Amino acid sequence: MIKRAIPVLPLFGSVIVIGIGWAAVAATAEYSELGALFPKTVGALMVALGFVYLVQTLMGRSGASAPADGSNLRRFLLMAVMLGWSFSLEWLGFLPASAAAQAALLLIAQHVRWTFKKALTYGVSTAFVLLALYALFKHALQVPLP
Amino acid sequence: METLDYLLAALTPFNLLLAIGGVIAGTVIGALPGLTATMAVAVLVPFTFTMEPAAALIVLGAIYTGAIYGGAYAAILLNTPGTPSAIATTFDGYPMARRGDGDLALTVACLASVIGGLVGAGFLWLLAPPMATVALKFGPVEYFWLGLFGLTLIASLGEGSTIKGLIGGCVGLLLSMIGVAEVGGDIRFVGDFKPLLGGIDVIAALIGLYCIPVLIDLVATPVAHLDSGGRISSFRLAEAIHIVKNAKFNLARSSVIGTVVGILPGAGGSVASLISYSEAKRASKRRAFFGKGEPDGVLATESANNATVGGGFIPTLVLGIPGTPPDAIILGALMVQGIRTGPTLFTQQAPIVYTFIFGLLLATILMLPIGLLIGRFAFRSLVAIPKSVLVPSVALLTILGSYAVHNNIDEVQQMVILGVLAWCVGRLGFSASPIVLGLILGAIAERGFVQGNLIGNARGSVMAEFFARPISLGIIFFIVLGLLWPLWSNYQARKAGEAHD
Repeated sequence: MIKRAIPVLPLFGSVIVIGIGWAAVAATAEYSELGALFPKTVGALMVALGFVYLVQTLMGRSGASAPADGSNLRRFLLMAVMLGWSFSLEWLGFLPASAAAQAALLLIAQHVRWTFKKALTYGVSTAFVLLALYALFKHALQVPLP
Repeated sequence: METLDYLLAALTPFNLLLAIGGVIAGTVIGALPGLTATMAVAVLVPFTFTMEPAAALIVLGAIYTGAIYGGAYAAILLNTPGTPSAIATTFDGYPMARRGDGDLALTVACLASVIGGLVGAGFLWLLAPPMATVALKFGPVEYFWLGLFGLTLIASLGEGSTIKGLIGGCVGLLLSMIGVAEVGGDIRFVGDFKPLLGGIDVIAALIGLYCIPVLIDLVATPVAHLDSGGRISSFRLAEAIHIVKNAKFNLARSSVIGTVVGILPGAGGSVASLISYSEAKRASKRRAFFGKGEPDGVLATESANNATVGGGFIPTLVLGIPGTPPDAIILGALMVQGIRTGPTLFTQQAPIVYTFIFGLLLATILMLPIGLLIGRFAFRSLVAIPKSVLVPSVALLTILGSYAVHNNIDEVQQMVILGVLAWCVGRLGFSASPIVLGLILGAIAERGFVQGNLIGNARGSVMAEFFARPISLGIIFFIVLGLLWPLWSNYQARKAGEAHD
């Protein structure tokens, strides 16, 4: 008899879907009749769909994607930089936060060995894009950047 | 004879220059993720206050039409819709670019945008007053059914699993309810987290859901971000014309859908392009290739979203009701110019209106050479840029784009968090499109549903309100068709397969 591995992630995903649907329905208890009508309907629908997904997963038809190719470390570093960038904008200011994030992303995205020429060219190009877009948004489009 | 006078008035060297400048400015702004057509028109509208009314209208129409088309660049080359109306262009445009057909996708998008734009402007010229009257008959219930019709597209957008598509749609609907409810005023799903009071911004969510997952996967491998296919020096115009010729019916249907949706206040280019994409897929013999780089998909969405420009001007000019958000800004500019919109506009201020309509037609035609040139430049540049320089630059655009919508840092954080979540759920086989669809259509569907209920209760029959109005019945017919068609076509395909065996 062939043993099938338990699809942990899809199982976890279906439980999350049911949980979100249930939480949405529960939250409507505090709303007016008009405000509760639509979220209650959608929440209930989500619970039902979550159960169907759970059954599909248990039957081995979760359809999760194959493990992603490439470096997961680089992926997580990019996520961390983007999150850090978005949360540091207010207290660091747009230019310093963006310059730091740009430099970090440049390093994360580079797979080939660095040479002095490459470092200079890529560094100057990235800085130019940053300053050009800063000038466009701040001065031409009058966007009050932090 | 009068028509010729209006045409000549639109063709003055100054108006021609304005139209060229407007199309270029609109295309460039529309190509930047996060900068919408609405923003392009809003930012540039003060420059028109000192112009003659017709010239001001021409430049605004040119910016608007250019920006809608410009959205296709980022959609095709970066998998990030430059404007919300280019959402559906990502479905086939980006896969085309990935396999080395980005130049062809851009040329197809340009031709489709020009043709769609001309159809929309043609309807505006010939049929504006009667069509605006029909649009007035759309009440809350019709909008509810229209929203629901849009949601049935999930069945055709879900790649592989309808259940996952529906779950994604529900997530999008729930996201659309965060914040202060439009009907009833309840504060929903916010808790003590005040930054969510304003709700989830659609543009920020779009950028996050589509762009961040691409960036995350882009840094993971050394593989080139785009394949040039070794043909970066050509427009591939002959190939694109051949595709357009073979898809005449798709083009006509999508352009008409775009015009009609554009007439409906509040619907706009994103809804038009999604509906036309779904219809194109449903009617196509090559529906199995949709979502994998089928040029007909790009053709349908781009012709529809540009047709909304002319369509949206119909209620704006005839009734004073803006069809799309940029129309609302243009309506404001008209008021500054002292033009009173309404049914009498076409008779009392005919020279201004018809000069504008011809100006819009002119701007749309100009989009062909301008769009082809900018498209070629954009594709060549993007292919040549090293990935390690492209990633920080695109990331910067996502931050700037999501911030610039309302100058709000909370929306930048929403964008990044939604993007990271989209990548995570993508690993489970969920796609971003149904979530986006739910997010966009949630407000339209809920407003119509609740208001329809209230009106039905007041009139004594909710059922009659929802199911006995002729336009509603027409939309319900298409909803049922939309739900049953995939089942029918699957059954037919199975039967054909059995016969073949």
